[in-house]
Amino acid sequence: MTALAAPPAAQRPVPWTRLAWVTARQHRVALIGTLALLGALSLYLLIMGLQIRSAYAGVTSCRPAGSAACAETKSLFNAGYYSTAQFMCGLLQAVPVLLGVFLGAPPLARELETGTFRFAWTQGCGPLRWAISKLVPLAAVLTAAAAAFSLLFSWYYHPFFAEGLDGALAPQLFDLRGVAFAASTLAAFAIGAFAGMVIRRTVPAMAASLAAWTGLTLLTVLDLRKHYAAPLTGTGVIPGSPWMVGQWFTGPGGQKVSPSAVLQVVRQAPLSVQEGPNILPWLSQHHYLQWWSYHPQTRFWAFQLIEGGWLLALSAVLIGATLWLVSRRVA
Amino acid sequence: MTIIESRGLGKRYRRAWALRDCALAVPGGYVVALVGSNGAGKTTLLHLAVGLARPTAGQITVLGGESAGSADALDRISFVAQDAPLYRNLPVRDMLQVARNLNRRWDQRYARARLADLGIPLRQKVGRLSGGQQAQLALTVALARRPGLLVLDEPLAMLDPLARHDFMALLMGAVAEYGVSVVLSSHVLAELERVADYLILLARGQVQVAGEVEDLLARHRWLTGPAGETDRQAERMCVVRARRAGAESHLLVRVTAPLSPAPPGWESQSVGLEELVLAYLREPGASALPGPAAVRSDSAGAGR
Amino acid sequence: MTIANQSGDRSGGEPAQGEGAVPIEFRLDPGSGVPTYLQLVHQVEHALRLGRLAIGDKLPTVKATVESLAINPNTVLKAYRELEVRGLAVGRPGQGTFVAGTLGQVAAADLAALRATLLDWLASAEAAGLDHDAIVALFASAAADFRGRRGTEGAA
Repeated sequence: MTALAAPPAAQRPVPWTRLAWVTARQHRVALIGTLALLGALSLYLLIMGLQIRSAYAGVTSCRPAGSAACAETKSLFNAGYYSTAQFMCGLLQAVPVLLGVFLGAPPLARELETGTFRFAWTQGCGPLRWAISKLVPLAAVLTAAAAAFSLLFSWYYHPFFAEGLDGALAPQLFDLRGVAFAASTLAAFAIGAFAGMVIRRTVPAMAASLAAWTGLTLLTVLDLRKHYAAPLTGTGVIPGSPWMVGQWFTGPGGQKVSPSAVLQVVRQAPLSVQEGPNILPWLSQHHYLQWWSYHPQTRFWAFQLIEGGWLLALSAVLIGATLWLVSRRVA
Repeated sequence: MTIIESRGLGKRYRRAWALRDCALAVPGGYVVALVGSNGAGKTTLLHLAVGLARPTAGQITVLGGESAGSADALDRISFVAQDAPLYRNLPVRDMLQVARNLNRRWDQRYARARLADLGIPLRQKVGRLSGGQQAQLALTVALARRPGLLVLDEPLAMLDPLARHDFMALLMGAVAEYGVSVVLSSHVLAELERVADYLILLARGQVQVAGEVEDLLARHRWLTGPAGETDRQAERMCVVRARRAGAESHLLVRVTAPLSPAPPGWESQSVGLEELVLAYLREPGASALPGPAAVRSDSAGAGR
Repeated sequence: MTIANQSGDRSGGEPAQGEGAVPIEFRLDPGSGVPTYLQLVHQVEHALRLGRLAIGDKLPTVKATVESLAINPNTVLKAYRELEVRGLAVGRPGQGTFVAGTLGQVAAADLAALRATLLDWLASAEAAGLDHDAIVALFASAAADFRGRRGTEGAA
């Protein structure tokens, strides 16, 4: 009897295209959902973006410029479109983590949870190739879609920048433009994949990934990002919609004074000044200057590349760690 | 060739050793029954053989020297884990396509023909098939890969008697047609008695019995005789288990020559496989392991 | 009594036999204590005796037998080898196993005589007070003992 009945195996390993088909088929719903969500949001941004531009054209072409009527047109524009746009900014903050976690955690976690990894890891392709063929295509599609989306968002938001309503470095906008949006989405995916491999249960992995990504993002926005470069300092009104990261007062001698000391000084001012809009000029007359540390808008791309860079590195490390765990058959 | 060979193989999970100091040399061309109670280490051994786990101690090779879990080993071994894992939300047709795309070698015609025979509809979602049909599908997928070795972990556990019969019929048909070696585990020996021609008994993480079924049965006898002579017999031959019933002693002995006659005054009877296994399970100190032996010559000729 | 152990309904209706094979239905009695391969040998011999198989008839293929009984193919091979040893069958490579010899067939007159003896025995059993079930049980037990003795003789 022949002990090996099968014909000899081909020497080349299972091709990536076939493995990619498996990934696409297995995660069809998640992929379609992702593209559908981004598609729907894109459609909204497209439609609203066109409306905003035509309304804005009305504002810029208003003559005579500076008149009360034109000012009113402008404030109507702001009140109407700008506040909706602000709302959209807030909403879109959740997109990277939702997509990343929904696409990143289930592929591995569900296989481990249901036991199908015992099927997948004993097929001819081997666990490592299988894991790579799962994570890489999904990550690539997700990142590309996110990058395209953030381009569309920049186009949508352009009139508000032109109006000077926001600076490019403003936290809620920085995250949605440039490379930060795509990198952040990829990072969420990588966190999801890693959590899925370590926690091995889909829902807990998604919850843990959500928490981890949120924590990381808060840390970045509130603390890390302002340290990408040494901030500039200046006093008074600083033009160009910079990103203010610090504020303090100096006293008559040029030394820093605490906010409570400034408050004391303010209490000595005449009431009309205290309740009016001219506190700062009055303070500066008395040699109390308000200082800012800030990053100018021109640093936008530098910061984008720094943030995109370390998020990409983090994603690579996490995905690499995930693949390493798979290759060790840690299950 | 030996399809599974191990030396000093051990696996520890946290603090407990699931498998300890296992030495095996399982020849190819057999249907191997791996039996033992729950927790004896069967699943662990199988997972080590197919590369789902790494040994803590010792080593294991498969299919004549391939490292377990290597690319060649994965290519030539099909594994059906407990509960026959499949992608339950896919229709049967897509499940086949997934398996085809994950492997270098795939016999689509065989798969389609088997499923048609079994009456399993291609459009049906895997999760909606009955337990027996899912097991059959998992087996069909495993066989369509045309493996040299098929490993099954407790494949009959969740199946009703009819499903069990049909599953075994499919499996044995494939063995007859393709000559694939099979290793099946179960904690119910009766299920495997009709199909197994090689037995491995695991107890408490160690190999207690290993050998060809025919050989094991030929070399064990039940001797019944006067209780007074028990000790004398025990000195002369290898007694696996002794039971006393009044003035009579029943001894399970292992003999070196299959046809050696019973000692005078004693009656000799053949032993059934299940009896044999039970006796060894009750005597943890006893073991029946093949000594260093010449490679068994191929005596089952062509013509399957 | 022998317990039929054929596989159930399969698509197509009739159990596959392998092409051209004579429909001899192999059955298994798992409780009889007789090794499986010997049961197959006896069934072929029985069929020969009753004239159901003739020289040149093709026995079921190993694959077909194994698919209907769910036993190890080696068992069937062993049975067919035993039949070869007994001069009753011959294997042709690539074609299958064919009947090559006969056993003394039981003549109709002998059958009739045996039947008469049986009827007498049944009458005595009834006279002794056994009811139908008791008679059947007695016969089954004696037949099993008889077969068992023959079986161990064959295995030794």
